[in-house]
Formats: sequence, C-alpha cells, structure tokens
Amino acid sequence: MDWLDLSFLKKDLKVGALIEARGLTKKFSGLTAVSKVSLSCERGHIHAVIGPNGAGKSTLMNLLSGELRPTEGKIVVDGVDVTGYGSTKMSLLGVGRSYQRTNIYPSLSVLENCNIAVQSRLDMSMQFMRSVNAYPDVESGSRRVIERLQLDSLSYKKASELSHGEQRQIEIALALATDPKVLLLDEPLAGMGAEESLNMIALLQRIRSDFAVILVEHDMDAVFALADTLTVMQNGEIIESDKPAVVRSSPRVQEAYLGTSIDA
Amino acid sequence: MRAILRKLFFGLIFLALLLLPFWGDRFYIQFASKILIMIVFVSSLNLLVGFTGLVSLGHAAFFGFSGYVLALLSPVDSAMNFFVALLASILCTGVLGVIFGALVLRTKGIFFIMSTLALGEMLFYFLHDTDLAGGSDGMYINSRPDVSFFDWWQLDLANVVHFYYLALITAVIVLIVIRAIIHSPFGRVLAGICVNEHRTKALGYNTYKFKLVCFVIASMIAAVSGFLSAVQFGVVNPEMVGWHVSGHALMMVILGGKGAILGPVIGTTTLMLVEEGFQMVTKHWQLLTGVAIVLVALFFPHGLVGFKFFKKGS
Ligand SMILES: Nc1ncnc2c1ncn2[C@@H]1O[C@H](COP(=O)(O)OP(=O)(O)OP(=O)(O)O)[C@@H](O)[C@H]1O
Ligand SMILES: [Mg+2]
Repeated sequence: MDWLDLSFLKKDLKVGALIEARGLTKKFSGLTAVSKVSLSCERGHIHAVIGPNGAGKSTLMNLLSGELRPTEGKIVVDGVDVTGYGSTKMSLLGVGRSYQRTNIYPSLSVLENCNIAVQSRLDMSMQFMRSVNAYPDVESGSRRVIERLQLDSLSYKKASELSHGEQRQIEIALALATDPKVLLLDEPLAGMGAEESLNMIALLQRIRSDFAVILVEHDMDAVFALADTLTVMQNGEIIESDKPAVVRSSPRVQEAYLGTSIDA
Repeated sequence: MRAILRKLFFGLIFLALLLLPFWGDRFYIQFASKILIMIVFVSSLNLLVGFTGLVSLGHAAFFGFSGYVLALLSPVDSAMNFFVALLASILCTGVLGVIFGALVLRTKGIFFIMSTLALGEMLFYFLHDTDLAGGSDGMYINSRPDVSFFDWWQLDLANVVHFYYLALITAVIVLIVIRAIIHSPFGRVLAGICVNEHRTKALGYNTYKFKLVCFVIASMIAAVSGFLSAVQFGVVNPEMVGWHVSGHALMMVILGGKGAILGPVIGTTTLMLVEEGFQMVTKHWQLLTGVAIVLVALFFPHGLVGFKFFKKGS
C-alpha cells in the first residue's frame, strides 16, 4: 500500500493522536518561554523534542503535564480538550511524566516509591483504617514495573542510597507505574552512564508500542535510534519538525546548533 | 536479641503503668494522667508534623475548643452521659478542623505555620475578650460527665485512680488508631505528601483533599485529649487554645522524634518529667529545660527515638 499515501489524513484529522498541542504559548513576565508550539503524538510513536539549553523544552513538558497553565493555546488528550487541567487531573487522564531533575521519594524504598504511584490508579486511597496488606494488588503492580525495569535487586533499597543512574530509572518507574497512555520524558538519559543509557534505550524500544511518547533528550544517538518524528525548538519556537533524517539535513537546524553537526 | 529486650522493656513499662495506682500517691497518679492526656495531644500533632509534613503552631485550638464544648454543653445540675459528651466535643471540634484546615491548607511552608498560629490566636482572643464563654477566667465544668454502662458498671471521674485508667485506655486506643492510619493506604499517601508533595500531586493525588482529611482527623484526636483535660481539671480557660500549648506540644514532637509513633510518647514523657524535676530544684527551670532540649537536638538529631534501643530491627 505504499502508493497510497495516507499521511495527509493523519496530519489533518490527527487520526489517533493521543496528545496534541495547538499553538501553545507560555509567557513568564516578559519572557516567552514557549511560543505557538503545535505538535502531536499517537500511540506507538516517539516524538522527540530537541533544542539548545533554554529553548523551552521543559516548559513545554510542564504545559503538557498540567504543571503550568498555557498563556495561549490548547491541549487535547485523546480527543478531549484538557486545557487548564492541573497535573493531578492530567495524571488521572493517563498522562504520565518523568522529570529532568530527579523527582522521586528519596527517603522511601524503591518498592514504596512505586507503591504510591500504583495506588493512585486503584480506588482505595481514602481508606484509613485497613492495613495496606489488605490490598496486595498495589505491591504486585509495583513488582511488575520493577521487573520490567530490571530493578528487582534494588526493591528494598532506599532511593536516596541508589546511584544517580538508578535514581533516573526510578524516575521512569514512577511514570510507568501509573499505567499512562501518554509518556512525557524529560531528558531520561541525563547523567546516565553509557551502559545505563543503552539499557534505557532498549527498554524504551521494548515498551514503545504501548504509549504515545514525547521525548526531550540531548543524547542524539538516543534520539535518532528512537524518534519517529523530531521537533527542534529554539527560543521557545519550533524551527523544524519532520522525520529525523529530514531534520538532520536542515540548514536551519545546523545553524541553531552553531555549526556543530547535530549527530555529533 | 535487642528485639526481645525491647518487647520486654515495653511490656514492663505497660505493666508498671497498669500497677501505678497501687504504689503511687495521688499527686503522681494525677501527674501520670496528665502525661497520658498530653501523649494523645502530641500524637495527634505528630500526625500532621511527622507523618504529613505540616508544621502547625495552632493545634492547641482544637485541644481547648473541645474542652469549651464540654463546658458549654454540661448542664448545671445533672451529669451528662460521658460518651454523648465526648462524641459532641469530637464532632464540634471536627467541624472547626474542617474550617481551619480548609483555610490554612491553601498555604505552604512558613505561611502555613503563620496561618495556623494566626487562627489559633484568633480563637484565643475570641474566647478571652468576649463573654460568650467566661472571658479571660474561662469556665467551670458544672458536673463531670457520667461514665456508666447502663447500671452494671460505672467509673467515677472525680476518683483519680478511675480517671487514670480512663486516660491510660484512651491513650492506648489512640496510639493503635494512629498506627492503623499510618499503615493504611491513606497513610501511604500522607507519607508521599510528607516526602515529596509535588510528585504526589503529579501522580494523580489531590493532595489538598488528603491533607484536609488528615488535618480533621488530627483535630478530632486533639479533641479527645482536650476533653479529658477539661474533665480532669474541671475547668477550661483561654490559655488552653494559646500558642504556648501548641509550641510546647511541637517541642515534644521534635524532642521525641517526628514521624515515629513512639516519638510523642517518649518526647512527652521526657519533657514533662524533666520540667517537673527542674521545677522542684530551681526557679530557673525553664532555662534548664531549654539547655536540655538543645543537648538532645545536638546529640539526637532525629529525636530520642533515634536512640538505637527504640529502633525496630536494628
Ligand atoms: N518558572 C519559570 N519562571 C520564569 N522563567 C522560567 C521558568 N521556567 C523556565 N523559565 C525560563 O524559560 C526558558 C526555557 O526554560 P526551559 O527549562 O523550558 O528550557 P529547556 O529547553 O528545558 O532547557 P534545558 O535544556 O537546559 O533543560 C529559560 O529561559 C528559563 O529561564
Ligand atoms: Mg529542560
């Protein structure tokens, strides 16, 4: 069916787009951190966002996850306009995220970290007289996530005692443990060792079919290995958005990276 | 080995508490009751401070308010049923907890501390400066409530030994209830809020709702202690709701070790005994108490529960 190009359908009707930003703008008293950004992502796809420091990538993630309210523009999740929803509601709608700066429960064990995330999907959190032991579903859910990330041996370790790379994996585990449809990953590989990075890339390859993933990442090897679509931001604006191979050869993008080849 | 010693130690303490009325004199039994009541109050504060990360300087509002509810409800000539009076105090205080909590939980950090302090002081001046509840003198409890199970069993609350056992049972029940809360799914969310509220919110929890429920539970447990205190002394006054009482309780939480169920037990007992001891030897007991607290803070940064012996499984 190669002769029949249906991609225009996807573009215009956004068939199956699980998350979509339409003209998102965020102003911080004078500074426009994100300016008229539109992008979308469907299930099974990885949409990577790159750009120099301060380009507005994290701000974009914060808008998509409901942590910041857009100054202008719309966010649509699974066909529903969710503009103005807070992070709690977004999470419950199936938008999970990880943070650039590790944001986990340092004084709790890995298992306890995941338990909090898993429990958020089960309707029992207001129960205050029965023991957590009466709800084994929570822990078994956590164990599934921990197994998926091959962190079994760390289950009972305090998160604060883990290496930086391991903590980054807990960051992902918390997002996965809420069983999201959309995954927003803000520099998941930041600070990981080479081997850990490869493991994480392999993990994302393994699980990608279940989610619509928006991935902010500086590691170009990862971006080119994973992305279906690549968006480049600079000063809050999108300067290019296309298939990775096309973006790679774009002169505007080369320029944005000050002559340094982006596959370096 | 240590675990066995620990069990033995706490077993012996409990036995001593059960037998205390047989060898202590009146004064000490009364003092022990006072400590037990304070343990209930400090434990309720620890639910906020230690388990949810909400440092309140206005918790005494609920302690005193509950006593006032009892004073205002008590009929002049006949005794009220104890359980009806207790339930009324808890429920009225719970309503105050909803109102105060809904307001103060809009704020965070230092602003939270300030707003709890402000609301507590507002209640203080309201009780102090109006004639609704006896003004600055406070009110007498006209008649102590009557604890009787139909006709076959009765406690005399004016009897120090009876009252002591009532306080002991209450403290034990409250500690068991708090333990259950901490180990429940709800308690798990509180722990999440305590350690990292931002992430807890982003994981899909309406943290405001959880904090409010916790705040109201804490206010209702504080009501139990305030009620017993009013019954013990037969009088309530505005000082009961003042920030002094709140601050004192906060000191006990920190001294004992926040975030541990035993913390308030150890902190309260230690501080009250130390204060009593210093009061007997010198007029400058407050200075000595201050020095003692600084020493504990220096050597036990996590409170006295940080003392290895009390730790589970170490
Ligand atoms: N809460 C805020 N208030 C004011 N300015 C902000 C805020 N958050 C971000 N900014 C500004 O917005 C711009 C974009 O920041 P952002 O964190 O989104 O960049 P980024 O692309 O994620 O950069 P990096 O690659 O360093 O993570 C920066 O100039 C930053 O200083
Ligand atoms: Mg960033």
